[in-house]
Amino acid sequence: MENNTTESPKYKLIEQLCQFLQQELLIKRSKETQLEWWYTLKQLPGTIQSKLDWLVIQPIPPRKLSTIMDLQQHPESNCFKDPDLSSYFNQSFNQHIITIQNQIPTLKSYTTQQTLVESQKHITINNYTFQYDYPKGKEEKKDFSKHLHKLYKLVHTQYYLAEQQITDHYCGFDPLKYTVIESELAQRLHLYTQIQNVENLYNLQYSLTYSGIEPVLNQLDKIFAQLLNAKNHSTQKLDITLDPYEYFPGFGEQLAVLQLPPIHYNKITNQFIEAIHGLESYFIRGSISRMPYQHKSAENNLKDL
Amino acid sequence: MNNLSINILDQELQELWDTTTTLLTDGWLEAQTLHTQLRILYTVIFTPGTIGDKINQFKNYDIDNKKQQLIDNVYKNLSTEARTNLLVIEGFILMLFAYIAGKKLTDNELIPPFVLEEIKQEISSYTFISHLPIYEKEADSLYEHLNNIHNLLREIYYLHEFRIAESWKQYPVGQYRILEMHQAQILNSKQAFKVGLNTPEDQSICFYGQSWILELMNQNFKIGLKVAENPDAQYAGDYPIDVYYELNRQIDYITMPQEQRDKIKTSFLNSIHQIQNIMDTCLIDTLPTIKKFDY
Repeated sequence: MENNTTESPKYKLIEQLCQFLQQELLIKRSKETQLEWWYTLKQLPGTIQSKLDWLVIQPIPPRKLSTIMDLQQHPESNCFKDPDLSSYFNQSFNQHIITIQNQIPTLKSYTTQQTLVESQKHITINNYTFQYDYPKGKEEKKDFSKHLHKLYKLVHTQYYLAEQQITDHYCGFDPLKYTVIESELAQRLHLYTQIQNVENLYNLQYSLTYSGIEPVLNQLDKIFAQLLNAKNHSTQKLDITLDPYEYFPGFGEQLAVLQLPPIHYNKITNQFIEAIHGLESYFIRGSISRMPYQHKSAENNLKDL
Repeated sequence: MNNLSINILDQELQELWDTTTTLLTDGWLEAQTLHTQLRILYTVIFTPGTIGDKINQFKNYDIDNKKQQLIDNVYKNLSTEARTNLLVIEGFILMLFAYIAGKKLTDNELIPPFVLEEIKQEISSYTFISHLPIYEKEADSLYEHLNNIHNLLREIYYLHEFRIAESWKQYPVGQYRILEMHQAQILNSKQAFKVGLNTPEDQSICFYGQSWILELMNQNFKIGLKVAENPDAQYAGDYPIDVYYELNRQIDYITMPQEQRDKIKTSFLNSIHQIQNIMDTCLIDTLPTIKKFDY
């Protein structure tokens, strides 16, 4: 079992790599760059090796580049290709990110992040019901849910960026303005506030119910009202591919405020279009159009018990 | 209800509540044995479809012409909106549950503390490590089938150990207790199998659930999936249900129609098969790890 303890050579090598990144490669750069690099390293998919592949094509002085090359020649360096060790590597620089965040007054410190996330545990959870005039099939429900989850996730991310200046994922915004919260806190926030399918225990065939947090559902209400309105005024299929925010200005404005580089801006816009397209055909069938409705979820009753 | 069901006329709702009250209280139901009363009410509550489909079930029992007509009137006068509206249906179901509680048809007192205990159980994360990225298609499918197994094991466990269920699937009414609507909804939502915060390119994927259910899942996966923890599993993913000895025994032990039993077994085996496919695609070869999460 000795290979699994953090004393083993491969863990030492990973720590050595992390130390080099922090103490030699990044320390003299601006706080903004440091955060950007750490966020990117953390979010790059795959093994440690894939992260190093990104690193070596960045502007790095030759002497430091050769240190990275040396580390890759280390006898234990095949551990860089071990998928099981990616998360260990990510965790090893978590503390550096927190330390930098704590030094920047415009960002939320770790303790503030903690308090904020815990407070979201008590946010109102509502049920959100879609009604249909015909019984929906299983595949249809699955596809509808998939697109609704996507839209909720996008609106959820925008909501926390706009209201609390926090997020779980770096996407090109000013790192000195918005705080990427620590991984476990991000996981917690996600669990407290995510959208969930509400199990159909009573064999209902004409409605689909989800649960989610009230402020995000309120924003979804606006999007669905705009979707219905646009539909009612147009005999053709709603064309949102050119400028979706003509129809959904609220989401567009929140996104514009972030001043993202085009690549990130377009990625989010495409996801938004995809979600709306996926929902619109289900949301309105023939001439019948109905708003989903929000109502108190049974979970809130727990607070009274 | 007001603004939530704008299109529903007060008059048609009033007619529905009056008819339901008559059906429950004018004596014919009370004249039945306790078990028959419960069977009638559960049949109505759990019949698939609209409120019309549910209330129409009363007609299969020995009710007089006047009540037959009341039901026909309600059925005829209710708009589609009212017949399919979730809040109207839930209101109707709650009336039936209130009757069950009021007449003490089941021992309801034990249930709230039971639910409170169960929702407080420890939560854990449930993490699969893969050697290839788990993309959206596989992640969605993995969640769907894990969720199915999670819910199935949970349902069987409660039926087998406590003779309690959230919904009625023809279990003998005297032997198995059905949770009241709000209790069932709370238990269900608190024990939901949840997706963690994952990105498609991660070499791992994590879910969350109550630890004891996750343990049960791993006990079964160790039997049926090709994982390092199960060295003999050469045909894994396609074993017959008998090899899941404990689960199979429990399913056979619970009193339910054979058709229902077969459906549960087929659904379990299908999900195992699908999970094995995803594990093969993403090169997952170990059981997911269960780690306590201070929720």
